[in-house]
Amino acid sequence: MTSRRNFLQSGMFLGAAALSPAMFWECAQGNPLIVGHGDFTYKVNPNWGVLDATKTPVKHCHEIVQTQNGDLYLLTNHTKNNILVYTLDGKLKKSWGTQFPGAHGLTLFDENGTEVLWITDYERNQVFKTTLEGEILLTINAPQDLEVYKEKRNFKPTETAIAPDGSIYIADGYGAQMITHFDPQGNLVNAFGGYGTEKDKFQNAHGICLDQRFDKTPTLLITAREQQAVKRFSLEGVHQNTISFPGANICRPVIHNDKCYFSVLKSTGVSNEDSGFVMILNEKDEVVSCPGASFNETDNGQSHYHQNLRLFQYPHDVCIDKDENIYVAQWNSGNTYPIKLERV
Amino acid sequence: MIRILGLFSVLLLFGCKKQTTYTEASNVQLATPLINSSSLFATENNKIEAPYLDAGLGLEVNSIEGKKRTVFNSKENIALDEIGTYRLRTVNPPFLPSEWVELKVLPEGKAIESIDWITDPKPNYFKGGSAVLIDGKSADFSFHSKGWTGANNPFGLKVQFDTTTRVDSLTLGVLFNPSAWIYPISELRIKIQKDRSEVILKDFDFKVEGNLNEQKHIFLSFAVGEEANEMQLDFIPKNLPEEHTGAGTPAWLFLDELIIY
Repeated sequence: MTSRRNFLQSGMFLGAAALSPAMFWECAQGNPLIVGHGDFTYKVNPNWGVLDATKTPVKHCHEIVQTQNGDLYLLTNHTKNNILVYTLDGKLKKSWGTQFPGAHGLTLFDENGTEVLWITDYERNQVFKTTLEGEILLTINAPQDLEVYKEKRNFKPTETAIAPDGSIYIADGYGAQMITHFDPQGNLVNAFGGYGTEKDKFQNAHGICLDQRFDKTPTLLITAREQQAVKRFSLEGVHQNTISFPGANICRPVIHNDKCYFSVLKSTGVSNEDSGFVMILNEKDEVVSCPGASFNETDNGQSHYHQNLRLFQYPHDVCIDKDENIYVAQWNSGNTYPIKLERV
Repeated sequence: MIRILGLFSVLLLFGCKKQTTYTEASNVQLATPLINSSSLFATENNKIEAPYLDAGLGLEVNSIEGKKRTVFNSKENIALDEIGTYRLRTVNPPFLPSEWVELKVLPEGKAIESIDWITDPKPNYFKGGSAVLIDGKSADFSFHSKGWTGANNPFGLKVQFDTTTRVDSLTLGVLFNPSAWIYPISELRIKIQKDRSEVILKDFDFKVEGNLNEQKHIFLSFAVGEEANEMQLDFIPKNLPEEHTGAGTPAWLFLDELIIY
């Protein structure tokens, strides 16, 4: 534990350390900042994916996923173009979607060789399954059989996770904090969670994903953003464990290979609200890198994560490509496009 | 030689054009540090508290307006023993310095025998109880912390003195955090009682102005100018103002300190 702490703290200043051995051609352009820790360090490319805002504007950039062919799908709540499709080099390939004012969650699922998207819209109180071209294949409404959703406005879905059998788990992070489970046809199967501080309840059940790593029985990782924690549940909805990250309001878990990545919307207790960063966990659920942040061990032995560089403004999601570069989509960042962190 | 130089220049230009422009350290600002003081009051024992300050960061301290400017090692104890506003920020070239953090250091107030809620239910946020309002300690920016008392509906406090006390003014520490709908905009009615015979009422309206994206800790002062054995403070939070996205719904009022002068 001590070695990991030292490792992270020393890594905080990699950016400064990287400035000295400048190569000649680098001098012409300045010295790139390097962020992150240990084996997970990155150069920051703020120009990737920047588009003409008069033609393809964004509001909040909520989530981003990558399809098998390498294209990146960015979800924004701007109803001129809810989905922007980028090529890997940051060029706009196409855009679509005008009907999702509360576009928030974006999940990619390979359905028997055909990739489909799942979009949550907390303003419409609905979840949509679409083709990669935007055709709506299925709509899931508020499950009004449940008492808590008698009024559909209580259903404000923020994220989905799709099980291998095609069934759908929906996290209601802005509503009643329930996790609802539907069969592939959209029929309600189960519900668990709800608002509360108990171990199996949530304060801001913001993100959810399926964890199928290490040949273990698949589980659900669900973030409780206001509680600065991720909670692991069985697919049947039984709480297994909670991992806390004091100071880090984590959005959704994103699994890539054997690592788990999080965007951290913000920290708490600091004067600048835009205090977010990125966090990477290894297979033991230990933090191995925090681009844009560091952590300190407090007197009571807990770690406290906090931003150390003002690189990000409310990071809301991350997407990791095959070269392990990270694309960071941001909320409330002044209508900006994603930032690319290029793996060093 | 000229040919070699020419070829080198072409290669250099070609090479530079292919490079992506990355963010440079000199364009990135250090994060605003979480800094507090061990007390609100100017004493030799009042020290800077910076629990999460990273090793290697310098802490630049500007003490009372323009009097002196010194760069301290963050591990040093710095006594906050002058009344006024200290400004602090972190430095670590080539990064840009952090934003300034202000620490107000106040004169000590008069003794208060007790302070208690007079409303039931108590405010929604009161983890630290009413005593945190007279603990001489500034709360951090997290409204979840037990240093804050917060409500978006009317609440009242009773302040008692052990002897008749001249109350020139009342100072309140409040939180301004509009993104969490915490907005100090309220009515305040002060009911002053002296010798259980005379009751004097003082009514105030207050509203803190500021950028809706910022968080700040403000001290508000209210002139009283009366002798008192006991004071009752009734807070009636108003609705969020027009400029706020939640306009028309009740604002949250968060207090962390009450000082009598």
